[in-house]
Parts: sequence; structure tokens; C-alpha cells
Amino acid sequence: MVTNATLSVDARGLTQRLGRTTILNGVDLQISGGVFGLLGPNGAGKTTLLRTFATVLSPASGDLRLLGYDPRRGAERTAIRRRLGYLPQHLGYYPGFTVFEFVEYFALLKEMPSAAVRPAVARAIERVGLADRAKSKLKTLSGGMLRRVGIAQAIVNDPDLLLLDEPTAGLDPEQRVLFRALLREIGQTGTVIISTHLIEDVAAACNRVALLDGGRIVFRGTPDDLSSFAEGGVGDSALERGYTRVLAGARG
Amino acid sequence: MTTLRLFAIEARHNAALLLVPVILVFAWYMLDSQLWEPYLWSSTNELLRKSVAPLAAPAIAGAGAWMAGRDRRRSVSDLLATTPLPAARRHLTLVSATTAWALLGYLIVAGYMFVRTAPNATWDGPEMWPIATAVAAVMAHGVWGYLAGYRIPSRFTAPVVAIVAFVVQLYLSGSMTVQTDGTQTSTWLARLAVSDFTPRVAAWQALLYAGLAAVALAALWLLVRRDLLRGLLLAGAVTSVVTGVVMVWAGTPRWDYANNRLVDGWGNTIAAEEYVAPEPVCHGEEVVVCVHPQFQPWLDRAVTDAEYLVAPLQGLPGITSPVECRNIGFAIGRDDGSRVVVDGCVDQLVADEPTLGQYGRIENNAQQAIRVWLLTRIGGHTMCGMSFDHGDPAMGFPSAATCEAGERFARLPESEQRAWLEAHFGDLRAGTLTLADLP
Repeated sequence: MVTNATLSVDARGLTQRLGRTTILNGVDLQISGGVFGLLGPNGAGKTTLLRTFATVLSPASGDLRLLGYDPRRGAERTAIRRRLGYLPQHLGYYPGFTVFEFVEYFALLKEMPSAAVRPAVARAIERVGLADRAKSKLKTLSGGMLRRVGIAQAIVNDPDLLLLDEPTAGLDPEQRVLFRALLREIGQTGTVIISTHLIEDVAAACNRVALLDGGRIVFRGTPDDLSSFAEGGVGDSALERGYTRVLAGARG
Repeated sequence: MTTLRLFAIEARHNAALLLVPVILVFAWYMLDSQLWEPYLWSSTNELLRKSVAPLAAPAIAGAGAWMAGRDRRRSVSDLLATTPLPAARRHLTLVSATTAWALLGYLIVAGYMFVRTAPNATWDGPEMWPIATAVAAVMAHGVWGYLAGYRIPSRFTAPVVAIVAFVVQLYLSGSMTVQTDGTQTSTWLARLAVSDFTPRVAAWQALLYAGLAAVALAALWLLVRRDLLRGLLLAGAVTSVVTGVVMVWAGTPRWDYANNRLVDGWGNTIAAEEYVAPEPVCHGEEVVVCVHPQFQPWLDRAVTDAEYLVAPLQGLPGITSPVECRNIGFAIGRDDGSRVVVDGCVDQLVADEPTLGQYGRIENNAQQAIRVWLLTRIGGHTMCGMSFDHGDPAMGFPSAATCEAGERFARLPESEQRAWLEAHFGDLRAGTLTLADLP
């Protein structure tokens, strides 16, 4: 478990490039415990940042430590991955697998102890409200249900660092409310980082937030801190107004 | 335990699972159309080698390619990249699950064919090296297909890989060379084909395919991550393949015309004892029939048929007692049923050996006419009606006139047939009669 004294994510001067294009430009971010919201417009670099935290991409430059380990080193990267949960923006899946098999498959790939796998899978499926569809093939599920399957595979190993890219996309309002409660529950014991466009998700579930624009962090603080910039901003809520105001300020 | 469970999931959702019924249906068709009583190990072994294995191996290459491209087709690569289980282990589990289905299908067919053959066959036994070679070849094809699919994860990779594998096997198995005497023999390349079985090189052939499987596995592991151990494994596997190819080349017998001897690739003489035919089994009193021991269950029937063939000729000049009826054959078929073919014995009865033609066939028209009569009498194949007007005696085809003479002789009363034979059989065998001399 990650204690408050331990940083789950410690990124300093993190840079990521795609060809000659710089996607992340000197990102400094320290995250420890709770639910962390990553906000930003399309193309800001949120997904790239999450993929880097998920060890899919290796940093082009800068320092990065995840759960105290250096993801560039093979053995340490493996240690990170054992304690990691990740839901990509576009969840790929095997249509012929059942819900249980898909979650079990990733539980096994996460090297969970054999005896713990089946109970953990059942619990994860239960937590996302799909217990009654455990034996359904994935190809028979709706988009929202598939999203919940993706969340189930991400949380099956009770990760210390949970990375969720647009997790609520496709969820109906009731499921979104349940999901936020789940995030808060996981945030009690570990670190959750969610990348989202939905300000209300951040307002309801996150205790810390960062705003990314053009590959740089332009704001760091609590949702209340972001709301305090509301004056002069555009939006329906104080948080939205704070968001647009900070973004406008960052762009000069 | 984790690996077993992963294997079970991968096996349950594997494209190769579809191959099992295909292999079984194909094998059932082959069994139904080609494997009849009496069950001979030679037929069973050949069917397995030449029909089942060459089908299963390319098919599994395609299935391997398809499964290897699954993760990219399904966009699961990112998710998989974040899991701690070594990618090589996951690939090995998937490729094992894929090849396991083809192996299972092949082994079910092999087991069934062995069970059907074993209680009835009287000679020889199952060829175990071809089984080992087929198992290694299925694995090699599966892993190479997987490697191709991993590198080129296109939907077209699987069919292309399967077709290429099939064509390569076809090319290898058809690799022939023309000897100086005009005969065609398989080259050493043909010994590399999964359908071939040459006892001298069988173990090397199996090593070659096992090596090919190991090369593909090592290459796959190196693609996932490079380290010294995997490099050494690749080097070892390549060495196995090279050793297998060299030893198959060296072990393939070839004829040294200059010194009139059989040699291996190094020029060493191959002892003739290696190719001694099995001792024939014989039976009969007035008519003795000797056959290859695998036909022993049919020996009594062969003697009975041969006795019926020889009966009208018993006691005639040139017909010894007992008669050893040579060249007995067996027609194994489904539609007409399997039967003994004694036609080959007729030539030795109606013609002295020196009168036979270039290819050991009767060329004298009178002898051919009596041959037609004898074959008509036992329901044999006279080849009348298949001939041109003038026939082709050198190839055994009687002319229309010869057939007519034989059929005319067949219509005579038995007493008249016997009387003519007693008067002219010696001249007939000596080849001095013509059609005009026949009644």
C-alpha cells in the first residue's frame, strides 16, 4: 500500500515525443494517494501521459518514478506493473471471451497468486455491477458494459496505482454515480489518476487535479483551487469557469 | 498453475480449435475412401504420412499466424504491455495452445488408425519416426506461422502462410531426379518433406523439424526481448536445423553408377542387407502361392483362386506339379470389395519365359488368346475393349482378333478345350502357334 509519505508518481521534467513532435514538454507532477484528476483539452497530452505512467511508453527524457520504482529498469518495471491497473481510452477486447474469462485473463497476466485469482475476479466484476453478466460473451455487451469490464480488469489486482483514461465515457448517469463512489473507495487505499473531459467527475471524485495543455502542466491544486479562478471564465459551474479561465490564461 | 489456466483460456478461444473437426472429417474421408480390409500397416503408415500430416501442418501454420495477429487486430496491445507476465511466456502459452489442437487432431486420427489396423495386420507395425516427425513438423509450422503473424499482423497473413507452407511441402515431396537408366527417384530434398519416411534418415528429419520449431521460438523471444540466453538458444536451434539438413542429405542413398553400388552422401557403401525384402509366406499343395507376409490373412483365398485358375491346365506339358503361382496381387477397394488378383500368374502358365516380350509380357497372339480365355474364366481383367484395333502386345493389350479368338475358345465345351490343350499346349508355351491354329 502506498502511504502518504510515498509518492505514487514522481515525474520531473518528463518529456515525450512522437517523431519530431513533442507531446509532453517537461512535465513535473507528484501524486500520492487519493483520486487525481487530469484535465485538459483534446491533444493536450493526457493520454500520452497516462500511457507513460502505465509503462506502455518509456520517457524520452526526464525522471520518472512510479510507486518508488524506475520504470526504465526491467525488474523495477515488472514490480510497478504488478501493482498497476490501467484502463486505456479505447479498450480492446476479445469478443469470444466471457466477462469472467477476460478479467481472469488479465488477473493471470498481472501475476496474481493462483488461489486469489478467481475470488478477486468475482469481486471486481461485482464492484462494477456486472455479476449477473459474468458468463456473457463480450461481443454481446453494450458499450457501457464493456467500459465496466475494462474497469474490472483494471481493479482486479487491487492496484496501488490505478490509471483510467476517460473511464466514464459510455456510462449511464446511474453507473457514473456508482463509479465515482468506487473511485473514492479505491482512493482511500491507493492512488487513482483519471483523465477526463467531464468536469463533474472531477468535482465529485477527485481531491487533487492538474490541467494539461500543450504538453505542459498549467495548473495543479484541488478542485476548489481551480474553482477559485472562476471569475471571468466560461461555463455552467465554478469548476468549468475556473478550467476555461486557467486555460485561457495559459495560452496568453 | 497460472500458465495452465492461461493455456486453458487460450485453448478454448483458439482459431485452431476449428481445425480439429476439419482434420477429423478429412481423416474420416481418407479412411473411408482408402483404408479397407485387410488393414495393412503399409497403407496406414502411408495415409498418415502422405495425407494427414501434410494437411495438418500447413493448416496450423495459418492458424498460428491468425492467433499471433489477434492482439493487434483487437487493439489489446496497450493493455497487454502493462502486465508484468513476460511477453515471451504469454506468446509461448498462446502458440502452445494453438499447436496443441492440431497435435490433438493428428494424434486422435493416428491413434484411431493404429487401433483399426493393429488387430488385423499380420506384418510390420506403426512407423514411429514419421509420427515424431509429424509432431515436430506441426509444432514447427505452428510456431513459424505465429512468428509470421506476429511480424505481419494482417488478415491476409494467415492464408498466405498456410498456402506457402503447403506449396513448400508439395515442392519438397515432389523433388525427383532422373537416373541414367531413365528411372525417377526422389532426391534428398524429398526426404525433408513431412510426407517422406526413409528409415536411414528418419531421426534426422525429426531433428530438423524440431530444430525449425526451436528456431522460430528463439526468434520470437528475441523479437520480444534480446538477451544472450535467447541468442544462444537461437544459435543452438539453427545448429539443429543445419545438422538435420546435412544428415538427411548425407544419409539419402544414391546409386554410384561408376562402381555399381549404393552409397551415402559421404561416398560410403550402403550394405545391401539394409534393403532385404521380408521372407514371403507360402501355402498350397498342388498350387503353391507365396505372398508378402502382410497379405497372410488372404493366403488361403489366394490359393483357392489360384487352384481354380490352374485347374484346366493341370497335367498339361510344361505345367509342373506343384505349380508355384507367382505375381499374385491384391486389389484393395471399397466399391467392389477387396479381392485376390491372380492375373499375374496367367502369363507364367501359358508362356515359356524366353517367349515373353521386352517388358515381361506375352506378345504372341495365340498365347494372348488363351490368356484371355483363362482370365474370362476366373472373372479377371482381359483388357479386351481397351485395345486399339491392332492391340499393343508389348504393353499387354490384346487385339480385337485375339480377344475374339479367346472368347471363341471359352465357348467351346470343356472336353474340346482339354483335347486341344493336350495336343497343342507345348507348342503354345513355346510361342510357335498363331491365332489361325486356335479352334
